[in-house]
Amino acid sequence: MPVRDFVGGLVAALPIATGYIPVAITYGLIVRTAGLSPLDAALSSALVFAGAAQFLAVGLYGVGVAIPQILFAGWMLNVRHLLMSSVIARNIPPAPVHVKGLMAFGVTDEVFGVAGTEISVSTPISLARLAGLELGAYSAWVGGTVIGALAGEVIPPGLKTAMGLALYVLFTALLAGQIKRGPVRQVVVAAATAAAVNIVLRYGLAAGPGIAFPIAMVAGGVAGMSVPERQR
Amino acid sequence: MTITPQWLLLSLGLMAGTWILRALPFFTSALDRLPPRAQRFLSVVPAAALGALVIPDSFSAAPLPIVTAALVLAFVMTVKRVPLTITVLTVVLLVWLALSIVPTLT
Repeated sequence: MPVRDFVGGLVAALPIATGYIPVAITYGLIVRTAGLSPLDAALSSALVFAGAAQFLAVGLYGVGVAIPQILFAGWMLNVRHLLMSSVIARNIPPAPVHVKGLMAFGVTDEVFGVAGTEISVSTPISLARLAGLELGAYSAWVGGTVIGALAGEVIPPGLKTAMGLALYVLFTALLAGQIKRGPVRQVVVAAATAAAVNIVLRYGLAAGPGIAFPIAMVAGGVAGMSVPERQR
Repeated sequence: MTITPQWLLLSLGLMAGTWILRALPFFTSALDRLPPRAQRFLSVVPAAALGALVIPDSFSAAPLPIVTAALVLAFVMTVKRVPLTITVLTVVLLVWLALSIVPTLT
């Protein structure tokens, strides 16, 4: 029953929406702080639909990093979606090309978190349910961005500082989740190496964030993958 | 209301790259045949990205003791299986509270 599946997907998206809205409001606010318009904010959320990469982009854009460097950094950050999509792609019924393309657009960390859990319990997930889940999450993300971009100015300064920190809180929580899922040693070595290299490049060599970030990320990735698997 | 051309270009570029990364597995199973080293790199690169995103830029987002407390709390809450939403909301509210109590910190 496609309609019931679709509505079920929308309902399953509620926890995601609750998480997205405050983060999206913060994003809308930060985009405005970078000197961009509410329309700029809304467009980026509607087009990209990738929170962490959008925060990264507006942060680097705000300090004047060149667009190719921002793009490279954002794409590398989103490489993780390859792995999430490959789990979902193996667990949906056969579908026309345009439907698969549309479903792929909505695969975010949180959508994967919910869909991946359902897949591990009862394979496969119906297209209507996946569509509901993705549309629910997408509406919250774009809607929250618009609210933040339009109403951001009325937010008191203390809350603004706190919301500016929300992004790092989100990243830290995502990292903690990755460490928990493991492989623990590889993930920890990757994150710590990237952070250390970033500090050396930024403070030691006075490199700009656009140059330092991709180098730090690749160095962390290489270090993490070089840690041998624990022998059982 | 205006559209900033540079920003639009950046958004379109991010959209294209992100969509390709998300869509590839729907159209090819070639990824399953990547050499193990490449797969291991792909599986740890997001953690590396997050590490470099948090450090050192978070240090200047608010007074350092507050940043440290906020990030440690977020880490512990996630490890204790608190949902992402509640973690982010709680930490942000606590930071706001701390900044309100000690306004000189802002």
